[in-house]
Amino acid sequence: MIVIEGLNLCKKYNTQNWSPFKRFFSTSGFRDKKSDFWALHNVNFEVKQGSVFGVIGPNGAGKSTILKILARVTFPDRGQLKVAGRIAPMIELSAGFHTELTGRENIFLNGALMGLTKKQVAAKYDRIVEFSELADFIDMPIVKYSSGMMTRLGFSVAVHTDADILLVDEVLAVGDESFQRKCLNKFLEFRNRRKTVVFVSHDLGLVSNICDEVMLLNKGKVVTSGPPDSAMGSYLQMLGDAAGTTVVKYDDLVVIFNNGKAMVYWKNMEITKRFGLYTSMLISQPGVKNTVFWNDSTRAVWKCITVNDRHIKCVGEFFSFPIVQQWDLEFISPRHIRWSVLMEVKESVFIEKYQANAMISEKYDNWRCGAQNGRFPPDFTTRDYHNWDILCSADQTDMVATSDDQQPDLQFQTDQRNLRACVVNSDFHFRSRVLTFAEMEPREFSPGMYNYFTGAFLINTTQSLDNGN
Amino acid sequence: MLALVRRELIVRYRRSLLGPAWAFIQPLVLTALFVMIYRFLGVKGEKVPHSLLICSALIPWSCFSNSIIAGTYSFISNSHIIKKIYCPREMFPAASVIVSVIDLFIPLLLYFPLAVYYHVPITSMVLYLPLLIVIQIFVSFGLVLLVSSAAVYGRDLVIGIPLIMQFWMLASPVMYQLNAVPARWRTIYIMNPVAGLVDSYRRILVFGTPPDIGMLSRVMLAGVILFLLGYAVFRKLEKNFADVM
Repeated sequence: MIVIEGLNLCKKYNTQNWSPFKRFFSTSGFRDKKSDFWALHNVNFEVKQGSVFGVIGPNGAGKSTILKILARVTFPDRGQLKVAGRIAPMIELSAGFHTELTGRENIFLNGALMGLTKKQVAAKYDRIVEFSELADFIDMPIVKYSSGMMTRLGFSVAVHTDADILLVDEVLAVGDESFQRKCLNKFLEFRNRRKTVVFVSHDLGLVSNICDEVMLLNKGKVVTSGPPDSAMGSYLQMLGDAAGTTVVKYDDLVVIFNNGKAMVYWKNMEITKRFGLYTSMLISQPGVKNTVFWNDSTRAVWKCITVNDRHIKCVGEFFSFPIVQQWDLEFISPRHIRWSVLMEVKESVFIEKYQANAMISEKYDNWRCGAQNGRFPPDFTTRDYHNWDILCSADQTDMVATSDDQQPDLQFQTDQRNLRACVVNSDFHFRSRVLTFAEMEPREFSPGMYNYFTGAFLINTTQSLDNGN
Repeated sequence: MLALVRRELIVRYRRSLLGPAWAFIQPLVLTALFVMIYRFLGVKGEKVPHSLLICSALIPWSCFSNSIIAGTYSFISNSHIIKKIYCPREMFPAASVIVSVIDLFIPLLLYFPLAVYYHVPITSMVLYLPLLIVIQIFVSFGLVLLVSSAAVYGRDLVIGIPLIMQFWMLASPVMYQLNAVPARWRTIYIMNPVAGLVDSYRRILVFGTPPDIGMLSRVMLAGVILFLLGYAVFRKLEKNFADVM
């Protein structure tokens, strides 16, 4: 069932309209047509009940304008919007808060602004406080809250208003990892209760994780609308020359390299999740003893060079360490990606251990690591940030994941003999499984070039391999 | 809307030492000031003490004036809400009018012990009070709707309104009595709805006589017209609030 339908929505702003004087004349007929600017131009879209609908696009694409129109804060100049059900009328979670009031008073105020009676808020009050994890601070004026606490309170009130359609604008960025996860779980719960979420974000990883459908906007027009990965592919292609991103399409295979993470899609299905193929190094802080940090490849500054249709080369420079990584992704066939990583060390550095990882979809059910095999547990370790639930750790050179479903089998292998293969179930980034090849030996690296990893990521080939063995 | 009223009241006094006591102090000090000016100028006293004459008019006037001045801001100061949350927007000016009516009750309570002190009888005419308050709400709310909607488009009003209110006070029988106005100006003078209103308060509180029904009905008519006009203008301008602010 379609709950939101936008037909030819148009919204015009006049860039000259800021001055009351000019506005006065423009309403009396002297209209400067040149300064009109279309925030939305013939935008058509449909949102299905029970789905999470993502809206992405660069700044100025019209994302917020769409939300404003959905929330009825403003009206389209042309076009029609059909909505079935009650939309939460709020597009920014902490908008209704007054900083002098306490958390408790603000819950009631915000509830009232969203159309709830005092009784209704009181009935939900305990659940709101519990969800926000702010019980100890609830009688404190929120002027003393941190921005994360404010967002938590706002989100908690918003999700408890019982609206059929929830509008969410770029909120999850503020909360910490565990609260983000809680919000995402709430979205899944919404989906199960046949409620709809419209979600605007710049975080492409998040969008691809939780959205069922994504609309890509640019300059007020719909560029594409569809499953998350295809819309995201278009988005990254649109950004195009943005240095750290590139997209490779090879028959059924789509690989999106986005600043230190390579996301792999096969026939529009997610093979990898969130970070996709990425590297991480546990490095001691130079000059400070006993302090080690994980540095993911996503935290480097990347530049991509497309060598040809079947080969991309990306160079990433790390912020805080004198290390440069060079990735080569070669596409031998649509089923076979060769991945090699070279590391250039510019000043000597002590590396505790380093890894090449494949974060794969939670849709995979079984793993095999050398001769061992097993099933991924359906629940994810959520205890803390680094708590990986290690299912297998062995000196092996290849790992396989299979699904009971349609998800194609995948294989992650290396040419190197010195690495430890690990299969991990983790909630490190929202319900994912990780296959890792790790170098466990801590050692000092003097300046020079090193071979970090060479290996391959293969799709739907394990059947033939198994036969071959 | 009640939540907004609560918000206003709580926020206003939360960080102050004296808290709600300020609601008494303001009219008390103003009355004392005017009485001192009268003494200083040597204006001859009448049967009824000046302090009561002034107090009875000053209470409704400052309520009216405060509601207009605060109400002018009602949309502008809530722009963060109007731009982000859809809600019936008339509740913002309505809340500011209600807050100032609540402020009216507190000094009214203060008036009665003062009247007892000066041996001025409190008559059954006091029962007119609710009617006067309702009329005053209509006049203020209509005007606030008009002014606050317009203020969104041109902030000049925010600066201009306090000034206008100063003149308006001089044009209303607050510091003097209605019969002090020369007869030839009287017809124009009572076009001012607040004049009729303030005079009625003074009649029922101090003199114990009923309000001038002819004058009061004109005030009532003005209130209804202002309300309808204000609401029409508000409906027209409201659509683009989020885009203009």
